[in-house]
Amino acid sequence: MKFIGDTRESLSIALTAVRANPLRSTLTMLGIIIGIFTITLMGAFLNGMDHLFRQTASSMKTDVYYVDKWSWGGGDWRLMRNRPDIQEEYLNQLQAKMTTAASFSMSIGKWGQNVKYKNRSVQFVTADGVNEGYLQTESMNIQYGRFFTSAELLSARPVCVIGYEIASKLFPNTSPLGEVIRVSGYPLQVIGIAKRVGGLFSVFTIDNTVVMPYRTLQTAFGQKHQSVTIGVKAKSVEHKLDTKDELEFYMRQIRKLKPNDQLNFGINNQDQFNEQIDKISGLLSTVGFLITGLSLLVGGIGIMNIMYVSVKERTREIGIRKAIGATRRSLVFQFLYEATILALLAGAIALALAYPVTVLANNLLLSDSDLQIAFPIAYAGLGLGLAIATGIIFGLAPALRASRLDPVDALRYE
Amino acid sequence: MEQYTPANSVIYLEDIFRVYHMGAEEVYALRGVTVGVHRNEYVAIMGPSGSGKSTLMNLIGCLDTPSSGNYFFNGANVAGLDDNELAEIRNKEIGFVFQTFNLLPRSDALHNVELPLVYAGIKKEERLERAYQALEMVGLSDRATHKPNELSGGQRQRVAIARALVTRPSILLADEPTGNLDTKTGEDIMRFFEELHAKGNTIILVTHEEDIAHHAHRIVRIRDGKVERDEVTR
Ligand SMILES: Nc1ncnc2c1ncn2[C@@H]1O[C@H](COP(=O)(O)OP(=O)(O)OP(=O)(O)O)[C@@H](O)[C@H]1O
Ligand SMILES: [Mg+2]
Repeated sequence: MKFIGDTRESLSIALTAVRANPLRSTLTMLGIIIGIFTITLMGAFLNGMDHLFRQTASSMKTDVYYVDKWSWGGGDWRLMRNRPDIQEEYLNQLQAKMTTAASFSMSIGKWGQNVKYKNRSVQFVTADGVNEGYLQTESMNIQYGRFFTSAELLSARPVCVIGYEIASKLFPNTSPLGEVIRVSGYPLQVIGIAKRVGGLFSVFTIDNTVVMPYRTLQTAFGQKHQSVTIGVKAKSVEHKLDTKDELEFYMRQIRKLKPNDQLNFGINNQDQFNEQIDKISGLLSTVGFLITGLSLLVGGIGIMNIMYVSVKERTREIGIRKAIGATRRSLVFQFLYEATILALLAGAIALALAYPVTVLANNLLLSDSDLQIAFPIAYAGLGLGLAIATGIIFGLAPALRASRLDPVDALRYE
Repeated sequence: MEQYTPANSVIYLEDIFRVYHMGAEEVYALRGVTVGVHRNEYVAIMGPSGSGKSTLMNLIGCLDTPSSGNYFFNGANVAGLDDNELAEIRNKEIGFVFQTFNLLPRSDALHNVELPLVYAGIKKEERLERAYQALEMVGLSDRATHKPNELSGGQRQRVAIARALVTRPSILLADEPTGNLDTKTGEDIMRFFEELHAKGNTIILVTHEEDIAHHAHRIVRIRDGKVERDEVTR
């Protein structure tokens, strides 16, 4: 096969086309530039998320099941609201019966609290009132200070352990230990600081939590009887589903449910979270590919337009080439090649723009975040591949038109 | 003089018609042309404007196909050839020189001359060497890197001739090659054609200048799409 791929000539023709009509060419290429730019940045972000994810997942307690009034996976909200509360007594009953559990905890969580120290404050903090099992089920490590004593846990002592984010925001320069903070107005003395968990969702982790004794929380928020959360950590991660089954079995017993009755409690696990996250990144990439696809479509139509104009402007040249022996096929290749060069040019511009954006985003926006993005080589390659495909697909019709011109007519063309 | 037959001619046209359809109207550009050309002949085609000379040349050059009649090229009927085979004949067997030169404006002289060899699938090194030789033959080796707009009309036509000859075709077709040149430059080109003919090339030339036509050894006169006279002049 005679492959007419004179790169330099095609490149110079493509550049000439760009120079001849900069506005049109730029607009044309803009579609492709946006498309490739989007897919590259999305790729960078997805890669970063993925990385962070694996990091987060390892810190996630996927072997802990939470018995809760609410099911995390969603469901009928009104139905769940009418479920009976999870009672404190369930803890002892489960503890007495279960054989596949390593540890148990009981807690009440209050979302969306504010925490103040002097003139500083942090919003949307979780306040957890806990028992002694919390250390084990939550795998909480105390970095400074200490956890609560049994005496503190049984009484309603106004003490707390705070997460890393809260500590660093409220006490940027000094030690929080011994200081009194106000959790939604209620004063608590800081006796410990939890070790940093990090990861994507630090708002949902210990990092953003004020932990206090169970009774303290009840006193602070003034509700004696309310639904608690019981955490059950599996003995073995591999057999955690056995633990789940056992937990469900005894909970059914406690609730006196018949085998066919629906559960009137939730057994929650962070795996459910991960599924949600997967859905989110799936959605993100769908949107990304959609934007990319649309931009490439627009860019491709633009390329087709440029190529049609180019074929028309170069009708005589096509006639000359035919007269000296160009086959249809070689002309198709020539014009496809030019369309592809044009598209690749746009792709290269997109990558040249995306690269500094990833660097800047890392250095400016994400400098103190766990999310780090890198220039995604694989997505960049995918982007260039898509640019080439766009050039070929949308260059085809003009290229075929060029190849089918009648040589005599083409030579006559003024 | 030996009779022309499809078998002994490079080119043999047999009762060729070419009709253009202009809406409902039919324009008969050629109406029954029969003519043969032997190897190493030097033929001039003459006739008034609109008589069908260019139409005839385009048919001979395989740029166009007749509405009816047979065209034998080197003994083979062109009607049976497909698009690729026609392209190959245009590439390897026919050198075409136009009144308006028809060089690629963005390419320099060397690349213009090289291009037919690209389509012939010849390797870069050999291409450049042969293109350079062809330029040398027309006396323009020192203008190899000049673009067409940096060359005079005569020089452009010589580049076009180098391009036409670079594939060593069976036949050189020239449709008013001196039409856009002044008399002196035209004469230079004609002297060059004579040299080519002396070296064994077959040449068919369209002109409406008697002076130019008399460089050829045979003149075919066309009128209203028909051969009016066909005479050997020397
Ligand atoms: N593409 C076309 N469509 C319609 N009619 C055409 C076409 N090409 C040529 N003709 C007609 O065919 C006839 C012969 O044209 P041709 O170009 O062959 O003449 P010519 O002898 O080369 O003239 P000139 O000396 O002016 O170049 C003319 O009447 C012309 O109008
Ligand atoms: Mg003419």
